[in-house]
Amino acid sequence: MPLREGWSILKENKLALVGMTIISMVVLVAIFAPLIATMDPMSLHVSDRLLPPGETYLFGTDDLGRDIFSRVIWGARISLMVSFFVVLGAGSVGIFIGLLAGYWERIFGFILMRSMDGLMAFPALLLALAIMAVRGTTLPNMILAIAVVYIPTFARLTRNQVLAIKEREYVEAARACGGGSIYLMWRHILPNCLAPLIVQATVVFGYAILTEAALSFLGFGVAGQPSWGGILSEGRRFLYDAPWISIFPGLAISLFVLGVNLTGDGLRDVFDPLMK
Amino acid sequence: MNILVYIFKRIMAAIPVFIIVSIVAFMLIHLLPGDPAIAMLGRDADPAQLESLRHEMGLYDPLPVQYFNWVGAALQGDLGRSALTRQPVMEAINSRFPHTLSLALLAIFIALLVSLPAGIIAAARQNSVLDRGVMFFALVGVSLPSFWAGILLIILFAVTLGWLPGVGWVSIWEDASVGWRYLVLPSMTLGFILAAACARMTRSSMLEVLRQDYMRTARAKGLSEIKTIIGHGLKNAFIPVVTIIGIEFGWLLGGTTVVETLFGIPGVGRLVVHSISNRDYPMIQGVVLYVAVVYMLVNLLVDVIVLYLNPRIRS
Repeated sequence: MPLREGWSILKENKLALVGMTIISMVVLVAIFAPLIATMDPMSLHVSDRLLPPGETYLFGTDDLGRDIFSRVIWGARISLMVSFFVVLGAGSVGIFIGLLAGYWERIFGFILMRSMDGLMAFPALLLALAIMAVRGTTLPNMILAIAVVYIPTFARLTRNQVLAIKEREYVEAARACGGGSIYLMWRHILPNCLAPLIVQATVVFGYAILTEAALSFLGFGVAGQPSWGGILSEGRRFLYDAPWISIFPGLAISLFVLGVNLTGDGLRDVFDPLMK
Repeated sequence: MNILVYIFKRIMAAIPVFIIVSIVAFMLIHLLPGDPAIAMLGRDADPAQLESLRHEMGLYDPLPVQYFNWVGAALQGDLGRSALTRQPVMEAINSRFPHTLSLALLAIFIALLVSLPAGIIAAARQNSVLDRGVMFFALVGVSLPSFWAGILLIILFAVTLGWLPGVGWVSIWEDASVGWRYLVLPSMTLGFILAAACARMTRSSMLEVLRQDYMRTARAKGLSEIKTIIGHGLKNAFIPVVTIIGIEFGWLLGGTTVVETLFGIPGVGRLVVHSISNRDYPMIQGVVLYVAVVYMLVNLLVDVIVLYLNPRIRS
C-alpha cells in the first residue's frame, strides 16, 4: 500500500491521532526534560518531605523531599530509551532470524524456530528478571534483557510471512532472472513482510514500557536515574500517607502505553481493514 | 485422529522445547561474571569455603556433564538445595505454589466473567457507542501496568473505603473464611487486565463467527438473536479465547511476581524476586525451570481443550 494512502486512512482515525499526539508529547518531554522539570530530580528537600501536590511541588514530594513532577518528567527518558532500543534490537534480530528460518525452512529453519519456541516458553517478565539478575542492573543490560524476551515474537511473525511470500510469482520471477538468495530476501521478500511487522513493533513497544516499569518496580531498575517504575516502587511504602508518589508515575506509564496502543490499533486498521 | 494420539504427538513436540528451556535455565548461572561460587559467596569469601561449594555444585565437571546431572535430577523432582536456607528447591516451590495457584485461578475466573459478555455484546453491536465504549475500556485495561492497577485498588478499597485488607495474606486453603478477603484485590488486579485482553479477543473472534454461514442459517430458521449467539456463536468464538488464555498465562505468571510483591503474598513469584535479590542461584534456576514447565503444561492443556471444542481439528 502506498504511504500516502495509508496516511490518509490513518488521518481519519481520531483515536490513532490522539495516540500519536501522546507519543509525540512524551518524546518532546523526554528531549526537553531539563527545561520542563522545575527542579533537579535528585535534589533532596529534607524539610519538604511527603508534601501533597501544590504550587511549588506540582505532583508533591516523596519521603526524601524530592520533587515528583521533575522525577516523572525525567523518567520519560528511561522509558522511551529502553522501549525504543528494545524494539530496535528485538526487531532487527527477530526479523533476521525469521527471514532465514522462513527462507531455508527445512533443517536450519526448524532448529531456529525450536530455539525461538524455547525462549517463548518462559514467561516474559521472569526471563527478563533472570537475565537482569545474572548480568547486573545497568541500562544496556535492561535493554538486552527485555529485547531477548521479544525476539521470538518478531521471528515467528516474519517466518510466517516469508513462507507465504516466497511462493509468490514475483519472487519466482526474480529468482528466474538470476537473483541470489540474499538479494531475494532483502529486495523482494522483506519489503512485503513489513506491514504486520510494523503493527507488531508498536505492540512490543507498549510491552517494553510495561516490562521496564515492572522490572524497576521489583527493584531491578537502572540505579541512579529516576524511572516511572522506580518512583512507583519507592512510593509503595507510602500508599496510606502519600498516594501521590504512586499515582502520577503510574498515570504517565498508562497514558504513554495507551498512546502506543491507540496508534498500533490505528495502524492495524490501515493494513487490515476487515478486522476493524 | 484419536485424541490420545494427538496428545501423544503434542507431548513429543514439547520435548525439544523442554530441552531448550532446560539448557537456558541451566546456562543462566554460567553467564555470571566470575564463577557461580564467587557470585554466591562474594569475592572476599574464604577460599576453603569457595572450594567446597565448587565441589558441591560439581563445577569442576565438564559443562555437558554438569547439565545432564542437573537435568537428570530435575526430571526426578530434585532441583537441588537453596544456597541460602539449604531447603530443597522443590520443597520451597511446592509450599508456595498453592498461593500462586489460587491467585491465578481466581484471576482467570474474573477475566472470563467480565470479558465474555463484554466482548460478545461489543461484537453483536459492532461500531455502536456501546462497542466503542467497551473497546476503549479494554484498550485502557491492556495499557495499565499491573502493579499500578493494584495500587489504585488498594488506595480505593483499602485506604479510602476500608472494605478489604490492602497488604497481607491469609491462605484460602487454610482459612477460607478470612483468606478470601486477602485474595480479592490481588485477583481483581490481574483479572481486570486479563479481562481487557480477552475482551478484545472475544470481540474479534465473535465478529469472525458472526460472518459464518451457519450463523445465517441459524437466524434464517427463526432463532432469536440471543439464542443464535449463545447457542451457535459462543462455542466457536470461545476457541480463540481459550488460546489467548493459554498465551496470557505466561503474562499471568509474570504478573503474579509483581502482584505478590505488591500485596505481600508468599507465592512462587515472590520466591523468584527474593532468590534473585539474595543471589540464590540454585533456587533461581529451579524456579525458572519449574515455571517454564508449568507454562508448557498449561499450553498443552489449552491445546487439548481447543481440540475438544473444535471437532474439525479432531478429524
